Amino acid sequence: MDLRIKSLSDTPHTISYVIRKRQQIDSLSELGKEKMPTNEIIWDGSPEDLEEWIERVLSPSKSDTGTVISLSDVED
Amino acid sequence: MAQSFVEFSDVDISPLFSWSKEFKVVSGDVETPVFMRILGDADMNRSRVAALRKSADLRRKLKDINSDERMAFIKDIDDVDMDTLIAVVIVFSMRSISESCVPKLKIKAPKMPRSDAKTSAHEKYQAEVDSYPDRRQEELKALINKEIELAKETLEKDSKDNIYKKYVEAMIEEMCEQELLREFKSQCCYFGSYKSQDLSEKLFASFEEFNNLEPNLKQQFLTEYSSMEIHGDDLKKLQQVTR
Repeated sequence: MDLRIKSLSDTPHTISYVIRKRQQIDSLSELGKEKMPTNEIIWDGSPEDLEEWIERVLSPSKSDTGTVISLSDVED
Repeated sequence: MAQSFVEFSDVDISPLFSWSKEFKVVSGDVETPVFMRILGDADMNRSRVAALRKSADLRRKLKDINSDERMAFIKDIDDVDMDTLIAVVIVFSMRSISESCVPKLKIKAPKMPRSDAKTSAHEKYQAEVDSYPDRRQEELKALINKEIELAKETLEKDSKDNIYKKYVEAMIEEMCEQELLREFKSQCCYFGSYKSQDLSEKLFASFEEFNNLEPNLKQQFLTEYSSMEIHGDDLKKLQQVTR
């Protein structure tokens, strides 16, 4: 790295943006193809749009992987 | 306005690494060397906060009907006719109109063929990528024009008092936005200017020192900083680096 950059906060914001975006996309990839936000949300959406998407796909009621327990199944 | 992500085929990431430069500030016959850099996150945040404070200060003055700023920049209701009021409100609403139109776009981004697809499929995809920005822009322009007409019709039915209120809000919003940008750019020049090539010694002892420069000198700094910047939408086009 350039020796003129002495601390992380000195990294040009343009470069740190790309690094953060790379990390964000890596993390979002963990969601799998089906739950991954659209390109429009990733690149043109607001942080709130992205948060809303993640909350929606991770919400237990919307999740297709969660196990639904019926009250009638609970033993007394 | 946000550009399409499909333009990543035109990506050139080299500007990312041109984040500092040397130039000479010219004042009459005197040339002073300056070393300038793109700010890091910490200084960017300082610039943003300073700019927000400056814009909030102007907003407070513009809202005070007895302030010099209010009297200088915002006309009295009796001094401005309906057509002008409507025109100003529409012009200053352009950004929000454009933003509201983007989600309504029907155009779909070209779909990349499989890597082992025939050359003709890749050629077709590339042609779609090349024409995509113009097609998208055309659709967006049509949507915006429609929205403007609708907004105009709605305003024409409204009372002068109501439109004047919208005019004042729009004027204040626009002037504060401009003030914020001006201050932010000035702060970037102040934080980003150095005396030495190793970027260790700041050129200005304080922001006031930069801010009090002659307008012509100040403009040279602003132009040079701007020449190094990569804007948000251009950075988004760099998404090839994140794939």
